[in-house]
Order: sequence, then structure tokens, then C-alpha cells
Amino acid sequence: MIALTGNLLLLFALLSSISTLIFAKTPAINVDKKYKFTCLFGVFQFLFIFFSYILLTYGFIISDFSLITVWQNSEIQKPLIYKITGVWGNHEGSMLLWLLILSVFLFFIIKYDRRIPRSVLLNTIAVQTSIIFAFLLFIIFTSNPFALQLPAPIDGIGLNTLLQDPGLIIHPPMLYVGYVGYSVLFSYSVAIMLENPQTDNWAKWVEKWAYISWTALTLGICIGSWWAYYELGWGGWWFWDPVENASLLPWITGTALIHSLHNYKSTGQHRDWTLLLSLLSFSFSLMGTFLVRSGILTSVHSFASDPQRGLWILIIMSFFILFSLLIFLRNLQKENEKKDFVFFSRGTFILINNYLLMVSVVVIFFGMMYPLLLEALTEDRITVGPKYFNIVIAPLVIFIAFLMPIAPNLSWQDNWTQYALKKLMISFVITISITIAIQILIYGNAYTFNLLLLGLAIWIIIVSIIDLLPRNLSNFNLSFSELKRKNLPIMGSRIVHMAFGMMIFGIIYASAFSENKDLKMNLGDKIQINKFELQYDGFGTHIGENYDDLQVNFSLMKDDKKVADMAPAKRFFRKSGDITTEASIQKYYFDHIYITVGEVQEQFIFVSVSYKPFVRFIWLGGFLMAFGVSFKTLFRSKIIGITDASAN
Amino acid sequence: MLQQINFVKIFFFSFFIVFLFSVGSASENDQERISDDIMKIAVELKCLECEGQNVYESNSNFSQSIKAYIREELKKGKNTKDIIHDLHKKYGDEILMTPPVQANTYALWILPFFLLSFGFILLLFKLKR
Repeated sequence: MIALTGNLLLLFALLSSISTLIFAKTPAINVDKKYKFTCLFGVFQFLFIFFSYILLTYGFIISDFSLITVWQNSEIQKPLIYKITGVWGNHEGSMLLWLLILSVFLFFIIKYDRRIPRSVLLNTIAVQTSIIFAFLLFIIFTSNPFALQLPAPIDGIGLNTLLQDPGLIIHPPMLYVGYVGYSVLFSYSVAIMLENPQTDNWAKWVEKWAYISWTALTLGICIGSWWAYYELGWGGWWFWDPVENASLLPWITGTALIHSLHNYKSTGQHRDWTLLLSLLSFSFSLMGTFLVRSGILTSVHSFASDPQRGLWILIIMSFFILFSLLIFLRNLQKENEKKDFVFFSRGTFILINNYLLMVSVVVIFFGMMYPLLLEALTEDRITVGPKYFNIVIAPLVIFIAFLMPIAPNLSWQDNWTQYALKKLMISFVITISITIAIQILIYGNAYTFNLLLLGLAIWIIIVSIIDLLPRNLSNFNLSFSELKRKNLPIMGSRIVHMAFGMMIFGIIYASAFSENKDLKMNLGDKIQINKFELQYDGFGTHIGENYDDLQVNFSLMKDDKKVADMAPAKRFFRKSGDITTEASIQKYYFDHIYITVGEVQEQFIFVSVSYKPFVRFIWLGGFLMAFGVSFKTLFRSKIIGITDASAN
Repeated sequence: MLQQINFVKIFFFSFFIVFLFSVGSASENDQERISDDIMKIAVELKCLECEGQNVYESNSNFSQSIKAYIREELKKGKNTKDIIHDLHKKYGDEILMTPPVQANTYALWILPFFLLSFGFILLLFKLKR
């Protein structure tokens, strides 16, 4: 029954998207009618897809094993929450989620973007619908979540055990909102290019989508990294794994896009480049999906891959990328006004920012694909691991971090203000003092490369904090709405910059100064880690809903006083027999004490203990970034059509 | 106006000095903190049976045998470099997490620095005009 209804819903959705396309592109009928019907069928698409998604979730909840997808990825014993989230823990379901988010965004365009000129809006809806259409075809023909098998088996195979974790509840949907959010920018850009080369206000239309997608992607990546940190049990937070890279690429182009949009909105320069960046962001999102789904690049993430489906996504991807690039090239405009090139202006610095970001995109992409290319061409097999990426990305980060505090203090036109200079100088002196203090306290006497990065991170943080002081924001005697319009967006961008500084600080500090100990412990043994003592108290068991834990108990002590109990575990899943490692993490200010257990014997255990100072800055920074951008999203300057260089 | 330019110059110059200092004697202390030689070697090696894990992180048969091998060799008194060299010889380039700089990886290593300097030259060129 579910299978039949689900297939019908998908079919109706397909018909609605065909109707949307027809109404949006038929020249014969009058514009009002065209608009009305296009929107109507657009909303229909959303509703049908939404209900089909709900239906699949229902199938998972009642464990209807006549659906192949449910049978392969669920079981009766699985906790309810993982039945619901397990919908996107497999290929079919996650593609349906992808489709759902595409259609939700279509719905938002229809509902919230009514003020945009009809012609542009209709084209945008048409492009967005054609993406939905392509993915609907893909789902119906290659990965139908409502595929039926009769008779229904009694119990299912079960969800990949690594994925039965709270991190999975929110990580994929967030990431997908980010990925798919760029489809809106893609659709708008194509529509703008098709419509009128002279359309000028569009920066204001697409701005919020750039912010929303970026926020979601940032959160998605952060949560993913947090999940890897505590679930994979190695204590690492970023592995330069192909799938992580694939999510980082649209994030970087998205970052470049936000800055370029800001520039375009304020000065009217680099229109084409900004459009190209929005096309690129979605292209990289598609590519990320393709890489994960096809299994071309293997990683811990590719829990459901299939080369044949990969081919389909490749076709969809190539079509949209080529199609948009063709339109882009046809509508390429010559920059009409050649201004004098002034080095110390915000525009130039944004351009440099964009260049550096694009170099990192190229470098990461190249590093990711190089082993594949090399093997295809010469059959030589090499591995490009994390160290390579760290080496090549570090100089780029240094430049970016160096320019980051300066750029927002420059004006659009030219030259410095005395005040900005003074501010930078003062902050620079403070930074050097703090950095030297850190160096003396921790390193002793030698300078190291890490210190430079730490110093730059501190500099970013300090300048941003100075910028956030009330006296440096515009006058406070303004009315609230003025204040909102003028100050909050600036505050938002400073918070994001500060958060980025915190993140770099956390990454460098935690990697440079973490202490690791791998050792064998007998009952009652104590070990020293940083300021703490850890005592092994024996082990016990804990029975979960579909797993049993072998818990190893530790007491964490500081100055001979017990601070906390810690209990890392080995988790045995009853059905699959899989064993996962559950780390135990204890917070201490911004630091973490991180324990995982290896082998557990009657007399002794193997344990791995780490002390990771300032590691929490990494995620704190990430979440703060998302928070800062939400300021910008909510309080964007709403005046349309004014090039307001002083506003932010 | 003159004062302003000086400010800027001083500012960049001081950064440059700090930069030189930092690069000059990079990562000496860095190595000291890793006491466990096995870990040091194992993180440099890829687990050839797994997907995207290094030998240290992985618990596969392959990784365990490699770790045991490293332990034996260390006991014999071999140093880190030689052990990695031997394993490299036996299993090929693939086992190294970081690709060696050689004919088939020149492009990989040069591209980032080429792009960076290209941008720099472009900027200088624009500034001159």
C-alpha cells in the first residue's frame, strides 16, 4: 500500500514539475495567469514530494519491510529516533531528502520572493523546477525508495551501526540544506543572465540565500566534524577525507561569493565574477553528491554507493554545469567602467580574498583528484593524505588571516583613515605581546611556525573585538530600526571574522600542544595527563536498546580530588555483531580530556588518552560563525536600489 | 600623508620580520612531543585494506601486522626513516600518506605554489600600472 501510494505521489510530483515548466515557459498566455499557474504547480511539486517523504518515514516507523529500502536499512528493534533519521541514512532516502529540500526552497522562492520582477521570478522557478525534475527522474528510475518486494521479510537487515548516533540526526539534513541552498542561487543567477544583462538590483535578491546556504553548510560541516571526533574514536576532527573535501569546496566558493556579493552590492564591480561564483557553488554541491553517491572516491562516508547511479548523477551534473556555463559565456559583460586600481581599498582586498579562496579550491580539488588521474593515466598508485593538504593550505591561510583584519577597516575608495591605522597598529602591538607571552610560557625559547598562525588568529580576534566595541559602531543615538539596519550587519560580519580567528586558534593550538598516551593499564593504575590524574577502576556493562556496552570506568582526579567519572566503551550491536568505539570526553574550560579503549582483558586494558587544549574553540568558532551570519541574514539593509557604501 | 605611508611601511615591515623569524627555525620542538615512535611511523602510512584510514587509526589485519612489524624493527634498533623507507620499498608509493616528491607528483606539489606566486606577480603588475 505504501509502495503504491508513494510511487503515485512521485509521479504526481513529476507531472506537476512538467506543468510548472510548461506554464513558466509558454509565451502565449498573459503574464498574470502564467505567474499564477506556475506558482500553483510549483507548490504542488512541494506538497507531493513532502507527502512522499512523510510516507517513507511512516514506512520506516512501522517497519514495513515490503519496501526494499526499509528492509535493507532498518530493523524492528532499532530505537524510534533512528527509524526516523534512518530515512536519510541510505542512498534512496537521502536522495529523497535532497529532493525534498530542493522543493522546499522552491516553495520559499514562491512564497517569499514575490517582490522580484515577474520575468526573473518565472525563469528562476523554471530553472529550480528543472533541477527538481532531473532529480525526480533519477529517483524514480534508478533509486526508487518505494520499490516493492513480496512477501515482506519478517525483520530488516539494520542500519549501519556507525550511523546510529545523535550526530547523524542533524548532520546530513544541515549539510543538504547548505548544498541545496546553492541551487537557489544557481537558479537566480541563470535567470538573471537570461533575463536582462542590465538587471542591477539582484545582489539584494540573492544575498539572503547566500547567507542561509552558507550558515547551513557551516553548521553541517561542524556537526559532521564533531561526529567524526567522538564517534570514529581517533580524536581527529578533520581528515581531509574526500567527502569532507567535497563539502568544503562549496563552502569556500560560498565564502568567496558572500564577499564578492558584498563588493558588487556596494560598488557595482565584478558582476560576472559574482554570478560565476554562484554557479560554481552549486556545481561543487552537485559534485559533492556525485562523488559520495558514485563511490568513485572511497571514504568512511560512502555507506551507500553504486557506480551506475553515479553515472546518472554525472549526467545531471554535467548538463547543469555546461548549460549554465554556456549561458554565462553568452551573457558575459565587459566591465564598463575601468576605475583606477587602488591597492588599499576594500574592493581590492576582497578581490585578493577571492583569489586566495579560489586557489584553495583548485588546490584541494586537484589534490583530491590527482591520485585518480594518475592511476588512470599511468597506473601508478599514490596516496594524497592530510599532511599534503596541511602543507599546501597553510600558506594560503596565513595570507588570508593576515589580510582579514585589515580589509574591513579599509574604505571602498582609497587610502587609510588615521583612525583605522591607529586601531590596526595598537591591535598589532597587543597581538605581538600576547604571542610572545604564549611563546615564553609554552615553547621556552624557540620560534615555531605554529606561533605565526597562532599570532595571526589572535590578531583577527583582537581586531574584531575592537571593531565590536560600541564606540566603533555607528552612533547609538539612532532609533532601533536605524541601529538594526546599520550596526547589526557590521556586528554580524565582525563576529564571523572573530569566530574564524577562534577556529584557527583552536585548530593550531590543539594540534600543536595536545598530549597523547597509548598504554596498557592494570586495575587501580594511575596515569598523569597534563594537570590531571586518571585512575582505572574496572569495567562493567550497560544494556542499550539494540546494543550492549562494555564500559571501562575511570576516575579523573585533579589535586587528589575526584573531578569526574569517565566511561569510554566498546559497543556491541546485537544484530549485526558490529563493534564501535565510544569515546569518553570530559570538558575542562576549552580543553578536552579524551579517552578511548582498545583491547579489554580480565587483568589489563589498552587505553588511549589525550589532552587536547583549546579544542573546543574549533566548534565554538564554527557555531559562532553560523550565528554571526544569521545576524547578517536577519538584519540586512532593506533599502533596495541604493548603493550604500557607508552602510557596512 | 607622508606620515601615513610610513605607518604602513613600518606595519608591514614588522610583520615581515616576525614572519622571517617564524619560518627561520620552524618545527624544532614539534617533533619532541611525540614520544611514541610507532605512532609517529604509523600515521605516515596508509592502511591499504581500508578506505581513507592510516595504519595508526585502523584496526584491520593489515594495520596490525604493520604495527607489529614496526615494533620489531624498532626493537632491532632501526630508526624511523629506515623503517618507512623499507615499507615504502615493499608496498610502493601508495603506502605513504604524503606523496613523495618525484616525477609523477611534481605537478601536485608545484601547482599550489605556482598559483600563489602567479597571483602575487599579477598584483605587482597591476600595482605598477
